Amino acid sequence: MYLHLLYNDDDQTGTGSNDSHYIEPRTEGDLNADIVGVAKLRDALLKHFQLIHTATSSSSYVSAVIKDMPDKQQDFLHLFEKWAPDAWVQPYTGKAYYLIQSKYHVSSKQSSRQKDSSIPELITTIQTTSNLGFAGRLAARLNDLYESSQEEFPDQQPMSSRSLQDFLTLIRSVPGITHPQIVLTYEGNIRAEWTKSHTKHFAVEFLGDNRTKFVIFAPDTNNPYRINRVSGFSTLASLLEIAFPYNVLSWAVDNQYHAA
Amino acid sequence: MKGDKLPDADHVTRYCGFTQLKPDGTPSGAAFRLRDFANGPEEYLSVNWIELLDPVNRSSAIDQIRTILARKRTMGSLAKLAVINVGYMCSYVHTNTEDSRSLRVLHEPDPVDPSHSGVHGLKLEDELIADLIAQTIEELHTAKVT
Repeated sequence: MYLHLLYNDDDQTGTGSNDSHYIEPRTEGDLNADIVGVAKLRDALLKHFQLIHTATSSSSYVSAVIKDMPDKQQDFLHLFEKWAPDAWVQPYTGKAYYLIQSKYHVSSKQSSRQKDSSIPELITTIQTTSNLGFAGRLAARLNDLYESSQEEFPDQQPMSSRSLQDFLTLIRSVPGITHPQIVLTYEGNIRAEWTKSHTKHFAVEFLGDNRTKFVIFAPDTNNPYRINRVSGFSTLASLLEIAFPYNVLSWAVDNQYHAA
Repeated sequence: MKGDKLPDADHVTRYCGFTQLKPDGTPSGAAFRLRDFANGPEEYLSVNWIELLDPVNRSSAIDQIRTILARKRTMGSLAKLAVINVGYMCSYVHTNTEDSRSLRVLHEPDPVDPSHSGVHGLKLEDELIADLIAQTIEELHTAKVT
């Protein structure tokens, strides 16, 4: 994840030129602190924020845009320091920040920065930072699975944090994605299933480190009376490209987003 | 007798832990996959042969399976036993797999578990077949002895 700070130095130079910074978290793998920081900033200054969602076939962005920033500059800088000192500190020089953009990429580059994070913390971020309509249900389900995986040990391996991170990366990157049914594999990996019927089934096991295993049952697009059934391995980044021809988004994504 | 093929008309149960149950209570295909242990993968998917224990009274057979399994493993309070018809499962998998996979359900009794049986013909990477098997479940019962 990158934090994209777009600032304008009109106030000081009067040139009107725009500039931007891409800031990577200072602490590698400190994804949670970043996300929580964005959410807290947004919640604290909600009326000054506007959320903008944009997406391409391979990535999606949730932008938190601060409106009328000059009036709130001190509040903003104060919050910045307070909530994410390690990951967010930027040598700001009194310039007015206008835009905060949290950018979620489904890419191999992101996974290379992954480190193990606490599972309870990861689950907490779902509710504090997510714009998913089912964030509460999702967090509750993951909590149940996390606790049960500990109770069922050794028949069940504990939930894998890397698997959970990859799952959250995917689910945050697809606008309009519907609530999957989530289980754990014996190995402790998250398996998310979007199943509409016996013939419309999309299941993804998140192996961690940007790797997935998937199963797709889907009507053939040229002959709906025939069912295609495929399974395989994929990187997280390529998963949806592989699944796309099977039209899985028609039941895994809300209609209005799918139509778009 | 060990190695006997179970009749197509008969049924087996598969223990499904809570973590393999979907929120709607039905088992995911994740409950029908082989495990990979340090000393190698499982040879077959463990199940229990219902009709061997009681060919007439299914409730009685399920009760016996609960008791037997409780001696062999920790039973989760929310875990379930999925009932599957042997012939339907084998036929469904054969029909819907690219390699027309032939599963065989064989009797694998052990001293404490006379109805223990195994679904043979699965490989570790058979997620697709595991999901097909999950689609053949006929009934669900609580796994823990009540």
